[in-house]
This record gives sequence, C-alpha cells and structure tokens, in this order.
Amino acid sequence: MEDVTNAAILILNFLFVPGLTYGCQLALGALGVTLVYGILRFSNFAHGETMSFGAMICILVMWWLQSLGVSIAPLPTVLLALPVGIAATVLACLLMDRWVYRFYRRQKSPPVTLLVASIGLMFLLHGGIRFAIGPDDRVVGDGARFIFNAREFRHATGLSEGLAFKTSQGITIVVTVLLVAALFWFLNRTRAGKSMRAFSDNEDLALLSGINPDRVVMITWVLTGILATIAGTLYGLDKSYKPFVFLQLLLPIFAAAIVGGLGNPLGAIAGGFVIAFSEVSITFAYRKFVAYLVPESWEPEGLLQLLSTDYKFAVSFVILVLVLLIRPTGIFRGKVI
Amino acid sequence: MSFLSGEHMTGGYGGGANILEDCTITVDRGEIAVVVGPNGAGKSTAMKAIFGMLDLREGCVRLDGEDITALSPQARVRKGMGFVPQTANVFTSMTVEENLEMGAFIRDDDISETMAQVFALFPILEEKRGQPAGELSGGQRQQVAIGRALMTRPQLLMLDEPTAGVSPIVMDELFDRII
Amino acid sequence: MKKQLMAFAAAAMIAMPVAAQDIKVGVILGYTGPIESLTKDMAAGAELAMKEVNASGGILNGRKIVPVRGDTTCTDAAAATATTERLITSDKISAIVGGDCSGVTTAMLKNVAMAKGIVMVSPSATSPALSTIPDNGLFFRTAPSDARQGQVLADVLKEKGVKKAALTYTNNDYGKGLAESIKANFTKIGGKITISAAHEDGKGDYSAEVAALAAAGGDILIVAGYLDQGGKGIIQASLDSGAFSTFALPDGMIGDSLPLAIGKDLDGSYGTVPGTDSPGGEKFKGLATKGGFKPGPFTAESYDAAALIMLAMQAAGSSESGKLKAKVMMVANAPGEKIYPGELAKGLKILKDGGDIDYVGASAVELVGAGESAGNYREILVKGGKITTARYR
Repeated sequence: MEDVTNAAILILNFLFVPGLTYGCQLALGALGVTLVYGILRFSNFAHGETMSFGAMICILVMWWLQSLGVSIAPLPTVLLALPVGIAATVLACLLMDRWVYRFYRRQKSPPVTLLVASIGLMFLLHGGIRFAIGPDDRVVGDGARFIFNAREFRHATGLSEGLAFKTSQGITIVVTVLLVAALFWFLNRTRAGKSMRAFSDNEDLALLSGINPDRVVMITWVLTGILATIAGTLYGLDKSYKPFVFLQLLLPIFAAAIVGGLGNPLGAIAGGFVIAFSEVSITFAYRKFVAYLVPESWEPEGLLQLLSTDYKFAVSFVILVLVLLIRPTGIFRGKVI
Repeated sequence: MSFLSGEHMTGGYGGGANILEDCTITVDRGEIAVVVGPNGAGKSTAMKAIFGMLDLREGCVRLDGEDITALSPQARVRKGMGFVPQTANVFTSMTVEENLEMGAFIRDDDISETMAQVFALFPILEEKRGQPAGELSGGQRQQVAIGRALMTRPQLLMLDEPTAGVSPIVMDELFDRII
Repeated sequence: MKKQLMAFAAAAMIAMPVAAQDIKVGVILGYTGPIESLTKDMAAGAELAMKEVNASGGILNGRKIVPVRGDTTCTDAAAATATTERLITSDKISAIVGGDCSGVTTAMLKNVAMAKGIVMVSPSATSPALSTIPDNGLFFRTAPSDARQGQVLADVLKEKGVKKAALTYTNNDYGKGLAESIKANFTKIGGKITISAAHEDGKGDYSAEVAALAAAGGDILIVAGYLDQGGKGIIQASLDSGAFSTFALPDGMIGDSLPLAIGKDLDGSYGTVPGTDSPGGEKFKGLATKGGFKPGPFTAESYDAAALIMLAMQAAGSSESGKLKAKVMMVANAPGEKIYPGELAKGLKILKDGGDIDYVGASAVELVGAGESAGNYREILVKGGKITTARYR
C-alpha cells in the first residue's frame, strides 16, 4: 500500500503539480493570443514579448519596492508591483495598436500583413527589453519559497517520496482561477464583454448594431495587457525571468490557443492544459513509478521515458500539426485558420 | 422631400472598379419600397451604399434632409437606421437574448419593453431565448435577425432578401409580421 | 626633381608608419551569450598583460600591443568564424587570445586560423577533442583539457564516498566532452553513473529534465553545465522538487553568482575548477584587483594566454604567427628563468638578450602534449553561501 502511495506522490510531485502550474501559465498566455485573434483577426506573435515586457516592468518596480524595504512576506513582493506592470503593459499595447496595427486595420490589410507587423514588434520589444533589463536570468520570487517542501513532507508522512509545493505554484493556480473567472464574467455578463463576443462572432453585424469597433479593439488590448502581464510575471515567479525564454514560449502558447480553437477563450484554457500535460507526461521517466508498483525482480532497467526531455517543445509542435490536420478548428471549434 | 434619398451613388470596394453607377433611390416616410432585379443587378450593393458599407466616389446619401454620406455604419445606426443583411445576419455563438441585446447596443435606456415587443411579434424567440442563434432553423434565424434590427426602434428598416432560403410558409408568416 | 621628391615622399609615407607600427592581437571571446558574465573579466585579464608590456616599452624594439576585441557568442560557430575572419583580414591582427567555448574555438581554428596561419591561444576551451585536432602547430591553450578535469572530479567523488551519481551536461562540445570524461574516469574507479542526460541552455523550466534525472536516482547530481544558464536551472529545479540535495560542480558552474542565486541550499556541494596555489596566482590576484577587475574563472588563463603570445613574439623576433608558433612551447616550459605575473618586462629582456625563460604566470602554465596546459585544480566547497577552497590538486 505504501508503495502505491509513494508512486502516487511521485507522479503528483514531478508530473501533476508542475503540469498544472505550467498549464495555468500557458492558458493565460493563450487567452491573450486568442482574444487578439478573435477580435483583430491576426496571430499576435508579439504576445510572448508583451508578457516579457509586463514581467520586466513588474521586476523593475519590485526592485524599487525592495530597495524601500517594502515586503508582504511570505508572499512575493512582485505581486505588489502587478498594478504598475499592468498599467504600463496596457499602455504599451494601446500604443502599439495606435502606431502600428491601426494603420494596417484602416488599410484593411490581410491578416498576414498584421501578423508580419507583429513579428516586427516582437523583435523590437525583445531588443528593447534586453536593452533595458539585460539578458541575464533574474530571480523574481522572494518571501517564503515553499508552502511545504519535499523534506518536510517526508518527515510528516514517513513516506520515502517527497512532495513539494512552491508558493509560486500556489499563487499561479489561485491567480489563474480568479483571473479566468473574472474574464468569463466580463465576457458573458457585461455589455462591453458581450459586444466583444459579438464583434468576434460577426464583425459586420456588430457594426450594423452600432458597436464601436475602436472601443472593442481598445478593450481587447486592455484585457490582453492584463493577461500578458500576469502570465509573464507568474512564469517568471515560478521559474525565473529571462528575456530569451519568451521567444521559445511562443510555440507552446500558440499550440495551446490553436489546439483549443483560436478565438475561443474556453479552448485556450483547455489547450493550455492539454499542451502542458502532454509535454510533461510524454517526457517523464516512469522508471521509479513502475518500480514502486511491480515486484522488485521486475524492476525495469531503462528509464521508461517515451521521449527525451530535449524534445519537450517538439511535443507541442507535433500536437499542433496533428490538430491542424485532423481538426483544424480545435477542440472547441474556434475559427479555421 | 423624401425621408431617405441616395442620389447619384457611384462607388466600389477599396480601390476596385465601380460596382454601382449613378444609382438613385428615394423613400418617403411610412412607405414600403421594394428593390427588384435579377441576380447581380446590385440590389445588395445599393443597400450597402446607403448604409455606408461601400466607398462612395460620387453622389450622396441624405436621411431626413441631413447629409450622412461621411458617416460610418455605426453612426448611421444612431441616426435611426436599421439593416438586416442577407447572410450572416445573426451572432451565431450568442444566445437569442444576447443577439437582441446587441441589437440595442446603442441604447442606454431600458430595453426590456422593446424586447417584449419583439417577443410578442416572434413568440418562438421567447421560447428559445437561451439558445445560441447558430442552432436555430433558417426561419427562426431570420426572425432573430429582424428582431435584432428592431431593437434600436429604427425609423428606417432595410431588409436584404429577408426570405432567402426560407420555406414559402415561413415566408408568408414573416411578411405578415413585418408588414 | 619634382618626380623624385614625390617618389621620396610616397616612400616615406609608406615606410614611416610601418617602422613604429603597433602589433594588434585579437581578444576573441563570448562577450554575449551563455558565459558573458565571465568574459568581461577574462578580456580584462588578457589586456592587463598587454598593458603591462606596453608600459615597459613594448616588444620588438618598442612596438606596442593593441588588443582588438571580437565576439564569439560562445555558441554560434558562424558568428565566431565571421568575427575572426574580420579581425584577421580587416584589423590585421597577428595572433589571437581565444576563443572561449570549445565549439566556437574549433570552428575558428578550422575555418579561419588554419587557413590564414594565425596562432590561437585559448584561455578556456577545454574540450578533449581539441587535444587531437590537426592545427599546423597553431593552437595552444592555457586551460587544461576536460579529460583531465574529469579525472580530478572523479577522484574527488570517490574520496567523498559517492557510489552512484546522476550526470547532466549542457548540450555542446564542452558539456559532452566533460561528461564523457567524468563518466569514463568515475566508472574506472568503481563508481556508477545512473544516467547521463543532456540539457539545453536558455530554457525557463527544467522540471522535466530533473524528473528524468530523479527517476534514475543517485547520491549526488553532477552538473556539467553553465552557472548562468541551464546548470543553475537544473540545480534550482532539483532542490525545489527534492530530487537531489548535493551537487558536484565542474568549472563551468563555479562562480559567485551561483551560491548567490541558489542560497543556503547549495551548502555542502563541491566541485573543481582550474586554479593554483603557486605564487603566480596570488600575484595575479593583486594585479587584477589593482587593475579594477575581479580575478574570476579563467582570468589568470587569459592573462597567461596574452603573455605567452607576446613572449613568443619576442623570442621569435617577429610578430608573425608563422614564426612565433615555434617559440610558444619554449617560453612556456623549463628550462629557463621562472617568470611570474608582473614580471613580463623581465622575461622580455631575457629573451631579447638571447636567454631562455620558463613562463609560470598566473596559472602555473606547463604546456604538454600538442600545447595545452597540464592543469592545476582547486577543489572547492560551498560553505555558508560562499565558494571556499578545500585544497589544491
């Protein structure tokens, strides 16, 4: 029995908790991508860098707060910086729209033009961010690192497997739940939110109903800025903040958005978890897990790993290709690309 | 002076060729005007031109004596115009009730009375108010579309082939209600 | 008459600058990329030696040494090749201090230096593959091969009583070479490597890699990576998930930023890094501090690389790589008068007078084999959040 418990704890510690946290971070990122796609009808490649930008502002403000001695221990100080980060990112999103996207929208440019413009902005932002904060790894978390750590867990339970639960993981999950609930309340219950859904559903008809497109676009960028800042900061809090990482993060985020169905917020969340758990579970080495469950003599020699961890990003890529081939609209019937 | 007049309208989409050439339409208050013509004659295009969804190169559109040629479609809605396009005329992912709410987007006052009127006109919609409009039948969708346009209490309602793809029985019923 | 004057003037214009021409030496290191936190001080080390020589009146009858920096990026072979090409053809450098990481160093040597016949002295490329690579006698290094470090680290592990260890390495020539050497040496003395898995640098999250390492198990995790990159991420994720609590750290992982970033959980981890307790090392530290930079990893080797190039030039009586390459081993090894950091002027004078020197330098340089340092290692222990010296090997 104890072996079964150990096996379950092992899976919880190395697979479920990290997968859940990563899924939350991807879901928040994918929500931003999907909102922009739904309303502005282009794939925003600058979204990863928008997340990075938000996180950077939060970190800068966090440093300032730390230098003043402000702390909300055991919670990380960076949470206090979030409002400033959000405000700055929203402003940046609105300026990007004002200076770049609006021009192409007025020209009625095809989505691919906007997409390429967003790639340009991606590089611009990336360069700017590296210039401002430097390319180094930054530790974002302070305060208590763990809600409980592996050693404490082993002591308390007497099991041989430990289970760690980081403060950052707890914060990520709680914040994601709150934010997603707030977002869906906004989209389904408020007039502005409904007008966004209407605009996404049928742009011409939305215009005929007197919905002001500029206002819808503005609200979209505000939401995107909020989501991106929080997603970027949570990712930085849980791992560490490094500008380069956000270029790589773009692939799983887009995979999540497309797998769930582009333009469909519910799909973005589902897609985030599908991608996160696939990545984690396919690259997980099951040797120890199996060893707990089978008699000692059957203990496997190999690692029982389906795919080396080097191919982690390949997993999201393969899922992406499969979805596009088999069900291009994604799980929740988004828009066909 | 007519309530609505589109005079010498000439224009096309973007930088393309002229689709509409010197077209004039006038409608009086309380009048039911019908545009009839073969496929490709430009009936829908003329309606779009009146509604500001086509770039006019010449001519002008007047509503109640006011020149509205430069106004955007959503601004014309505020001036009391309503339009039901031929296709894609409902928000498929939204419920019937939400469709009607969106129709009344520009109104800040209480819309429940107007909605009750629409439900009285099309009782089936009240029954299906919580259902996504995309799941309704063709005739019911058309009712949603017209209901949506009525929500602004427009002074001018333009219907582009309101009976397209609808069975003759439903068609009769629709016309009864509309007129 | 007028023509003659013109010809004379033209000749003078060409001849004059040549006589007092400076000698340019490339300092080609990864100023951007995974080891950018180390290279600033490394370059300062190399340039310190050049400044010292210039202050003493230069070499070859008063010619000054001018450093020219170029970026290898540490990872991008194409970029490093292009940089080297540019420095040789347009800046006209005579020799190179560099490259830094093994992969780009190999590319620089194969693609450019050999074709142009330029001497390279790398302060930090430690891949065993570079010991046997054909180099026309142009390649030297003041850092020892990882094959040597693998042996030293394996000995340390054995002395600490480690029987089973998991091993992860950064996925490049340096990591692979070091991992193979550690594995071979540790297995030879009776240890067991449960898994040897690569990790990619620059990722945000290493929990999946750590899960695989944890599944294989072991008393300790050997992290043959970079302290600014994946190596740090692996350690952090291991500690977070409780997979490993002690780490063995080869040279790429030794730096003050690591214990600073990880905190007290790193206490008890140990490792090896090239280093020496020869008087040269202490002298160099003093010079470095006075010169305004930190005597961090590979800074002494960088100083020595630059010093060797300049001493060999003086010994050869020429700044040409083709001539000086034959003199590098001579000035680096016995017999001769021992030369320590800060004594370059003395060494140059002896050579000028036709004598022989044995350059000891900052890192106790002793070139063996095809021209690489035999290596001296410092065993370190992380204690109280600081890297402390356990002993020298």
